[in-house]
Amino acid sequence: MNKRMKTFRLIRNSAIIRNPLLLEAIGLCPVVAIATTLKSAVFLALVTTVELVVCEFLASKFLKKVSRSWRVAIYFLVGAVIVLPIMYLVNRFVPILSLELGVFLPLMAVNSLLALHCERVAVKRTVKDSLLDAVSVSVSYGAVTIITGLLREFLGYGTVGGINVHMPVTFPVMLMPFGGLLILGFSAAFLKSYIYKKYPKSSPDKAFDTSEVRQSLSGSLRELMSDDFNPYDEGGDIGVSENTTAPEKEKTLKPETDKPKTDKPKKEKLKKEKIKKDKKAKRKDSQAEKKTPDIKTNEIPKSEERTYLDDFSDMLSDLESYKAQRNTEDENESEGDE
Amino acid sequence: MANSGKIQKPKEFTETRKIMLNYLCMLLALLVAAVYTYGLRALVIAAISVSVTVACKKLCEAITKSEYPHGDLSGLVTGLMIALLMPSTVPYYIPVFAGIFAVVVCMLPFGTAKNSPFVPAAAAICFVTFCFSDKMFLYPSIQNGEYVADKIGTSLTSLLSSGTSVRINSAVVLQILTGQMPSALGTGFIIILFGALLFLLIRYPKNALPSLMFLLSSALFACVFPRVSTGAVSSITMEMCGGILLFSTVFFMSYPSVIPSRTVSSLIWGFVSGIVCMAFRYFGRFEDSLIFGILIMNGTASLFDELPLTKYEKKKLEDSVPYEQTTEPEGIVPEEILNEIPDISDEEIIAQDEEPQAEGVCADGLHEVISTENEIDETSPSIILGGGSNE
Repeated sequence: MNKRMKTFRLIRNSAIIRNPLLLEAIGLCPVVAIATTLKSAVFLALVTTVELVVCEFLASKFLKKVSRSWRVAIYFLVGAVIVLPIMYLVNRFVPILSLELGVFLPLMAVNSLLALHCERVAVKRTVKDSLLDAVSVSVSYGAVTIITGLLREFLGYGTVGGINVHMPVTFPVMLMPFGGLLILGFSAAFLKSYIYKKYPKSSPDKAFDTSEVRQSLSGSLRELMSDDFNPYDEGGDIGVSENTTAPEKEKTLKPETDKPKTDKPKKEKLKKEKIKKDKKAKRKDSQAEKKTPDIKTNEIPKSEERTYLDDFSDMLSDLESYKAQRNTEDENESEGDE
Repeated sequence: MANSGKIQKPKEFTETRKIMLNYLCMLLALLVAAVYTYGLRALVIAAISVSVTVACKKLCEAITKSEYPHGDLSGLVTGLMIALLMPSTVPYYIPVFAGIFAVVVCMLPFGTAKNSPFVPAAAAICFVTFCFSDKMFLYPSIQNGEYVADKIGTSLTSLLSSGTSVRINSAVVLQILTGQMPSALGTGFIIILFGALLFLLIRYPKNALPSLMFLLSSALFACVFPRVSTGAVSSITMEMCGGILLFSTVFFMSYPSVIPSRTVSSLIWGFVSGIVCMAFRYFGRFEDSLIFGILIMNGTASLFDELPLTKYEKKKLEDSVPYEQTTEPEGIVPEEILNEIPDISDEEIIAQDEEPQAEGVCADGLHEVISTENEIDETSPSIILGGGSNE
């Protein structure tokens, strides 16, 4: 039952609460630019599905131990490998569609949806979960794209799938990106209101948080620029959005217990605090020099298979021991002061 | 009146309503002139437009269960603006779509008229111009002061786009001023529009300033880059009096929710808007693409508030902040007091902690000694002897 619930939640989160188009606002460009007819929308949905499934499978199976810096580039390479034959086939057999898609078909190789979902899910979960996520995201992306394409074709051309439905009035403005954004905006509003009613505890705004990819990219840039860069080294993952680790993170990274406010004379209290702060800052600097080598080198036996969770728990235990050490030093100092 | 205060406070509501009432007066004057010139069709178009916008607004408020107070007249004003920007030959469904667009896209997502970043009527006109461009510029001819329904006239903007000039003499000027040139329902009556601008300047000078700057920069642009070869005066007259420029000056450039909040910013914004709108007019796809420039500048109004403060504004800000704070925030000692007190060394502080302190007064004579319950130094003589006042 637990597994079923977990699977259901994964599908629900991927498809509804973190809808890629409407809530994550990812992969908007092709939809807004080329999903002006049902045909092009269906084509777009299919290409995205294939890309996502293949990328997430590869990421989950082979790319977990590869450094972030290389992973994102690999996703886009895989996307290009998938899109190139599709481009060739479309040019050969459906040149009208190729003209309609224009430059956006090759651009789908670097769809940000791939990078986000691979980083968010594929490299942190099993192959089965990643495939489930890929399928559910593709279905939701495809559904929204197809609905958008259908509406735009109906309002803009007065046709549905190429069949004239004899609309008395058409709105050519809906064929422009403005029309696409308008439809997506209103759809997002409806979906959000549905989520707030149906799943009040979930916060759809969190879907907009793309910190995994941002931190990956910025971290990867820093790593690339450092001298001792090793593409197969596991860098410390800071950004974690897994619900399972979030509570642990909150517990261990809680700030020190708030010292109750004293009612000593203000000036003296401020002076004391200032002295303490200066000393702490000095201590921090000296300890940072000592500690950083220890934190960096995690001696992990190569024979064992390690996952991200293991690495993270090691880091947390290091942090706890560091904090405990600091607390004891503080106590010793305060006793020394007396 | 229902006022939860969640989105809009009552004061803002009354202010918006006042401004809208003034707009309504100006628009009604234009409507009367339009009905006089174009007959009952103008009234029908206005009635359709107003009823659609007001009904849409009420429906949207009912569906979304919005809690802000109703009746700020923004729907009515928007409907009238839309009607007065249409030609009299327009089919009746176009004001309907324009009204629905204005409410559903430009007013509903933002709540009240005060929060909308765009002028809803301008956005609606952009929408219908794009969708029905073949019908939006068919202005009927006016001959001898009478409207001729079957004949399509040539408007000033059409002449300008083709580079044809009009000889500016007193007769032509009188025709232009009294709305005898083919134009939209409410944009041809230049004398009424100038009167409305004057009214705005008297009633809401702050809102009228960007309008004046807009007019000035448009005139400068027309003077420096004339589209006609008969001189600057003809160019300025035709550009200012043709199309929706004057109407936009009075109603769109002074709309309360879109102008920048600072005076200097609003002046600069008005000036830049004039240049941008004239550029759209010159190079736009349609006969009069000025409305697209208006929409773009509506969206950039908040950026102009980020401009650095001028010396005058800085001085005004400093003068408005009180020099002495009456209440001291808890836990913070002002720097002035800290600087006055001589620095005490660490050892002195520790020594003071150990000394028994008199009730009510601490060593520096400035603060009361208050004992602590939580952070108690049990070895301190003051605690042992029970010295220091309690909380």
